[in-house]
Amino acid sequence: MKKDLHIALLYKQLSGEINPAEAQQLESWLQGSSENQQIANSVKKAWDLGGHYKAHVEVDLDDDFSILQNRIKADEAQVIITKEPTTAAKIKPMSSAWRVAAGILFLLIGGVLLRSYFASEVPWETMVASSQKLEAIPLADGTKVWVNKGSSISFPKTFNGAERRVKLDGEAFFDVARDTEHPFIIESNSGTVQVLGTSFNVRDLKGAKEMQVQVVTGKVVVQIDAINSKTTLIKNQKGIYNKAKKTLTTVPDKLHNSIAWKTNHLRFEKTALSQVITELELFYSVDIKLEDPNLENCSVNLNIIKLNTQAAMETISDVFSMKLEKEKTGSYRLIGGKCSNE
Amino acid sequence: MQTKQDTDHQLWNQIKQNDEQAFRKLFDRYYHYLLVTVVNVTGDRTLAKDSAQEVFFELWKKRTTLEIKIDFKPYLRRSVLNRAFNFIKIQKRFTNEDAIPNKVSTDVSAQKGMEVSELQTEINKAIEALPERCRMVFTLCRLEGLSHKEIAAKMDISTKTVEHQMTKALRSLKDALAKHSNSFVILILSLIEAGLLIFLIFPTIV
Repeated sequence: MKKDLHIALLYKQLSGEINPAEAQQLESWLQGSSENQQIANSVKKAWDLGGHYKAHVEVDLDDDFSILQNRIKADEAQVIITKEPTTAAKIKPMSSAWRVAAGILFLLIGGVLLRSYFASEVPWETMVASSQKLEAIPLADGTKVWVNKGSSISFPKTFNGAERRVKLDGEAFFDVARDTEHPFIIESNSGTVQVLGTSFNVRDLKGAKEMQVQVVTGKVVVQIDAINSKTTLIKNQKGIYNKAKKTLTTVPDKLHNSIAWKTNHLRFEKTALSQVITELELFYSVDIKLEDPNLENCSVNLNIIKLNTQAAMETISDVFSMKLEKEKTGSYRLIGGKCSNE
Repeated sequence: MQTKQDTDHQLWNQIKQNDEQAFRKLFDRYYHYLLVTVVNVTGDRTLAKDSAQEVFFELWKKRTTLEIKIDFKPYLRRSVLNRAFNFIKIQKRFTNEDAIPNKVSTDVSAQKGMEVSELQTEINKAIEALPERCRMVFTLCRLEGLSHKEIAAKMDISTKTVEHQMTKALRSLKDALAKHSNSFVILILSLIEAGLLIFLIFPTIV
């Protein structure tokens, strides 16, 4: 321990961060014995040699440059993703779909919101995610939006008002830049989602029974004007609006499978097989038949990361020792099997 | 005559005109250097690659707006270390106090192509064997020339901890040197012994 104290002093001396009192203490220690001076010498040597340390790193410049190029390409591809910039700039953009959406919203929400919308002089832009590529669309305030295939997002080129307002048709994941002064508001077909700064997924597909909001970080407010109801969601919660039953419910969800389209990662923890099948069907757009209904409640822990459809189907059938049969493209049958032990 | 800095900035001007070949040249010139910079400090090759990729990605992305007024080398060096430390903060890698380093390879023989003294090799091995945090403090001090305070801020630890870790590092390195010179002495002694033995057995030859 005492030895270490002197190493500490030596180090301070070597780095020039020693104070006079410490310097004196060190000096008298050095004078103490020749052994001490030897220690000092080898510490100095370690210090000097250590200053010449250089790690050995091998690299294939061609490989790594092509990784970089791919990333750049993917990033630039996003920028030209079916842009539908709005030419009639002054009086906003609006595809016909949006006019319809706006009309519905008008009925639902009333004039207040639309007034601010129409009043905006800033040109709006709509992006439709047509490709499989998943790159963030950056908004003017620093927010990033990942739009799922077939969905679209409309947003102003700059946010000027008291709010940051965008419109979503379909599904997108938002990582909203924090700005407590200017709430970020998403209008989707069924409702609005309001946040200050957080990340979450909004799924509101046309023709689907439910609108879902999954919160990954932070806090969001979901408002459904049609039933005049709103709820606050926090991290690891999912809000589900059932359009037919007209109910807005909150469920815990820390698995975040509803954003698997973005992460390519499905997680199951003690999840019932029936639920697993539902998620797999949704994610892979397939139809899965479970022959033995007794297995429905078998639970499973499973991570499915970046697997193709076939591999994922095989994984699930393996876990339960089931036989997998492919009936036709996009249609599978799980036969026999038993509950696996946890 | 053209200085190196001129050339870097010339390349940058070409890059600003979307010249991909110029970008590749800049990449070839500094990418490996950035990897080494991060590995030196962290010992983490994956982190090094991620950070260096990020730096070049941003360079390209911001080529039209970014003005680099200083020399490229220190600029890039600082950028890549900042990236690396941001990644580390995100990963909260410091929660695990003194994790044993994940030795991908202890590159002893690795220094091929350059003359490295035996003692230097010994020290390099010792540095690579240091616990993660300890190594980082030491290399930030010795290779990056940062002060206590700067290291503390960068790593989100107290200056006391910096001093403690630095002391620990120096003690380990000093001990590694001592062990090495001991084994050296033993080697010499055994050589002498062998010589004596030969002398005893074959006195006529010697």
